[in-house]
Amino acid sequence: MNRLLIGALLALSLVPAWAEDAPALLAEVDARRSIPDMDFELVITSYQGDKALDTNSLWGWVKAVPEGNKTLLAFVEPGTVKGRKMLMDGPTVYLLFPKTRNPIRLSPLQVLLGQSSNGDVARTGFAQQYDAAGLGTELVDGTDCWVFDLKAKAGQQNSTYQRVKLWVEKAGLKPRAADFFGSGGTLLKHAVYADYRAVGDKSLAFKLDISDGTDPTKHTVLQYRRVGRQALGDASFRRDYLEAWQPEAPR
Amino acid sequence: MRRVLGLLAGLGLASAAWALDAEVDVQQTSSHVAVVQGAPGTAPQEVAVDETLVQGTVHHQQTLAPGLNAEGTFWSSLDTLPSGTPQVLPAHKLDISSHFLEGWLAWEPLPGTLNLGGGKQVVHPSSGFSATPLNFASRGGRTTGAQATSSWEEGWMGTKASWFGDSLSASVFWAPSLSWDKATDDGGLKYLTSSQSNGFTQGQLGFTWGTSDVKALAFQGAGNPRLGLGVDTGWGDDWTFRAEAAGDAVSSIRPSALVGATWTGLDQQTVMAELSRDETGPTPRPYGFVRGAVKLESHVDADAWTKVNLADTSGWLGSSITYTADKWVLSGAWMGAWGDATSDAGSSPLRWKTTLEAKAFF
Repeated sequence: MNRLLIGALLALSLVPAWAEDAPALLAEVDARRSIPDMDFELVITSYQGDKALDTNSLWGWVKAVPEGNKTLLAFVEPGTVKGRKMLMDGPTVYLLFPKTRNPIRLSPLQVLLGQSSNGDVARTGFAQQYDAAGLGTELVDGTDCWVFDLKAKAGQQNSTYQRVKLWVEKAGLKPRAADFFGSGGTLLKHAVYADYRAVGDKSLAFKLDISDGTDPTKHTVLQYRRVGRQALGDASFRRDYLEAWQPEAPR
Repeated sequence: MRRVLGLLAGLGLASAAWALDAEVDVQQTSSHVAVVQGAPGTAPQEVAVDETLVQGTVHHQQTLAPGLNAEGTFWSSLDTLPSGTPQVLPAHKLDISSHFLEGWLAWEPLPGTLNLGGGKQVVHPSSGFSATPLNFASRGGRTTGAQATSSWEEGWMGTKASWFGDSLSASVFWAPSLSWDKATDDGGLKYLTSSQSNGFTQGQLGFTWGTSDVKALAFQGAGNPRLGLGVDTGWGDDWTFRAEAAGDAVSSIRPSALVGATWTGLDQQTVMAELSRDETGPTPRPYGFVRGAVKLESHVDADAWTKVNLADTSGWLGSSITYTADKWVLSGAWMGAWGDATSDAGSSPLRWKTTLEAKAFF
């Protein structure tokens, strides 16, 4: 009896601190997806049903800063967008067109790639933008999942996605799907995370399929060709440096 | 031998970071212009003028060594009517032009902090769309739509030093005066640069103030110094705002200024509105500008715009539709002007014009 009691107590002591704490659990979900100084090659394809409409290839670099991530993107293909350079600094987006010298400031919705916004492309963490308002469990296709009810943090009330419902596999804390809702509770986007691969000691979704909330036949697939680590200097992630920055293929 | 191998390895790394791109743009424009064909004083008649403009660029960028980059854009054009009016040049005469738009060598002695460069570069600090008060050094260039800045504009020969701090950047561009006798000395120089009869020095400070980007400019060229200030900011996922003001002190301050906003919807429809006032000419010119753009489907975009002189209510109206594929773009545009003969828009001979444009990227 004593051994059973001790065993039960030991098992309880092995349960991580975040198991019952939604904010801590969400932070852990983010931490397991976050790679310092991440670089990547990304292909974004938008579809109408099964028909591919257009494809963009990009190189990207992510820098973690206390206020959130900064992301640099270089457009590689197709020819009509080749040479564009983009800096995403939180909700602020700067785009430098070829043959120009002044990065212009864009709203996040102005830089849709396929049917996905820059936030969809760059988001590597939810806890920066959302508070966990609720936490439940659900069985999805036989897999036990946490279900987070996320609400935009104070000060983010003017962001497009006011609420997110996020399904995360309990085993491994891998995001499985997410519904993004607008201010009126309208479903704007449905995202499916797939093709998990090991990168260093992390497991990352190499495929993100984002479908339109009202017309699911319209969807955009973000497929990472490669993810690695390459530290760019802090200077590269500044607006005024975009002009001088000469992107080279991620190594 | 080891030095040779090291050099070869260095060249191999450098050559890994190069890019050669080319672009060809063909525009067929039919303009309806009001011209006086009889004796002076007779009423002008509307005639149609056709023009074909073919422009092409070759752009190359190469990393020569760590921290040392070179890039250049060479431009050529064939124009059947460079003046835009049959009264100045016969319609059948072909004008051929070629020169470097840009050619720049940049070196970073302190990577990410100090950048030194020289050659030929476009200098465009303004964020405005229909008006660009902060573009003190502009060589113009033709546009097919409502934007004030041409993507085929020629840069300035000069040198530039840029310093980048954590939240502050500073740069100085110096362009010398370069002039020569076109009749006798222009043989090879014309491919390198147009003459720069007036040199200039432009200093620029950029910093972040809260969530806004601020730039301050000082310009010394021909005439009196000019100062400028610009602010760009955003709100939420769908709004951006910009404001620019520039002052030119002659006998009194003659400012030009712009305020603008752009809203973007979930389906990527945008509405842009700008108010500008230009007092650098003989009479103040206040303008209102509105442009709406929609994505009709994944490859097709359309826009419509109007620019009105708020003082005399003359103005311009335009629209375009564009199909964008992976390596080419096809667009059709229409624009027209209204106003009496003494008004801002009405005093120009142009009544309306249509443009068909095809671009290819290689």
